[in-house]
Amino acid sequence: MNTILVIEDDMILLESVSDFLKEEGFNVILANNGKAGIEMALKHLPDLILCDILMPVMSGYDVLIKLKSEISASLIPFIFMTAKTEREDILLAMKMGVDDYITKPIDFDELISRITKRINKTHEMIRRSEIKYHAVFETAFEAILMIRISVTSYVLR
Amino acid sequence: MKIKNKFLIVFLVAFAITIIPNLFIIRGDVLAWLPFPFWTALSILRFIVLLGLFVVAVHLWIIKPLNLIAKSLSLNNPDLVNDITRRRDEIGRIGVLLQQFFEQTRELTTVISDKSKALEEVAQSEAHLKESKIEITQSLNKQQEANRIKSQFISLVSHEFRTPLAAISSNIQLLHRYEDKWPHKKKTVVLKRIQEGIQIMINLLEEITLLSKDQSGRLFVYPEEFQLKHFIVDLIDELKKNSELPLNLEINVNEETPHITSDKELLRQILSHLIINAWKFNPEKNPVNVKITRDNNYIEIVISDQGIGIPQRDLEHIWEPFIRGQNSGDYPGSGLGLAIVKRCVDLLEGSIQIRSTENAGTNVEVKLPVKSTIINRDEHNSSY
Repeated sequence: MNTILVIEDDMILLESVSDFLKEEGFNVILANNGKAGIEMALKHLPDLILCDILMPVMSGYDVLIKLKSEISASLIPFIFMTAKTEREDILLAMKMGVDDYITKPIDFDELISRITKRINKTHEMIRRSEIKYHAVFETAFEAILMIRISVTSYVLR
Repeated sequence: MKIKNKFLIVFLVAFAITIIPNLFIIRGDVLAWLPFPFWTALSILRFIVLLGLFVVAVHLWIIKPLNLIAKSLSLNNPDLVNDITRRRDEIGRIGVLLQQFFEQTRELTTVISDKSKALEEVAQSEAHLKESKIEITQSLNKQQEANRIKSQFISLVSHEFRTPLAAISSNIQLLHRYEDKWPHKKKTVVLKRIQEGIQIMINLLEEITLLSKDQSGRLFVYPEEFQLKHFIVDLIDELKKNSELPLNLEINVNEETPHITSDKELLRQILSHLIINAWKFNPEKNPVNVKITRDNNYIEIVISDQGIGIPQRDLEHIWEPFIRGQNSGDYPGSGLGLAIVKRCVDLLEGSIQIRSTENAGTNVEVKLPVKSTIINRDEHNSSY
């Protein structure tokens, strides 16, 4: 089951999006501000993050920048949910590395299609890289040496 | 003595000195006994006297008038040469020319002073022009600023509306999708959320209508006399009913039942926003204290809470529309409340002060005149 983190300061919207995603078979975790959102993201490493932009204390932009700078969370697909419809805002968000955006009022059909597309794309990426590394592993002549700072392990074929 | 007479005298003296001795010479036999040196001395004396007379004549005839001309020039006084102009020789001509010169100078001076006056006027009108240019620029800037604020206001309003609309829309979509699947209890929760979203929009609309009414000068003061404590008690009952908040209020009225003459609607706006804020930003739900005292012609209402307070850096922007404290994140609101409160207090010609410490509480002091004056609707209408 895929886990989705929703970060939104408006409680009514947060709860209804959560209801919807649960019904669609996702595991949902919620945060009602940016700071809690970052903590949740780093703790649970969800499969996708849905985040509002205009929030007090910490804006969605700040959340995005912070998470993109964390190695563990940088590859999690990030979708902005926002009442900002101005083009410049969306362009700015895209430049900052957001994967997608959806404008409020949210259309649930659109939301689910964007979420599924993103998650599938990520899974595809993971699958491809797995195949790639598997191929490297399979075709290695002698051995692949994996060295970590504290542990050294030898994988022999 | 006239110059002519002077010359007559000089001439007569010269004539006497020259001629009289000759008369004696004609009668040489009479004076023949006089010694020779006497004649020589007499001739020398005659010469000296004639020379002196010549000098005096030159002085009177030429040098004195020239001096007079110089004096008249240096004193800038044409009247000094009046005598000279009567002469029909070169000096008289100089005098006439001098008087003409003075005449022309006077004309020129008049022309110049006229011109300089005109120049001054031009400079003045230029200064006026500059002033009016500055005024126009200022009013243009003001208008641009007003337009900027207006468009910013509209964009903020549209954002504020989108949020509850998104909540309503998403919950309707939920009902639509899972109507058959969900139990009745769940559907009631969703319906309640829709109701909440609608209430938020209604409140927002009311607040925006009030602010826009104020901005276009259509918000008026209609004072009436009433009993303040009863008014506050009724208001709190109303707030409890509408917001379903178990308001825990302590009301202290120092003076027995102060009667005031004020606008009930404006006062309701001020107090309801302040009381709701005191209750809302108060997670532990400590009691809110409302204290009313009378100070001469003013009523002082103090509302204090032990809530989350307002961060120091937000205090200066607290009266601007849509500005909310940095720590207000978890609490619903549009950020219009205090802007409305401030305008209502201003309309009632009162004053308001907020003292707050973050995480310790907020203390709001509202000072209102016991008697508010009517702002006449007709006067205002005529100007719009």
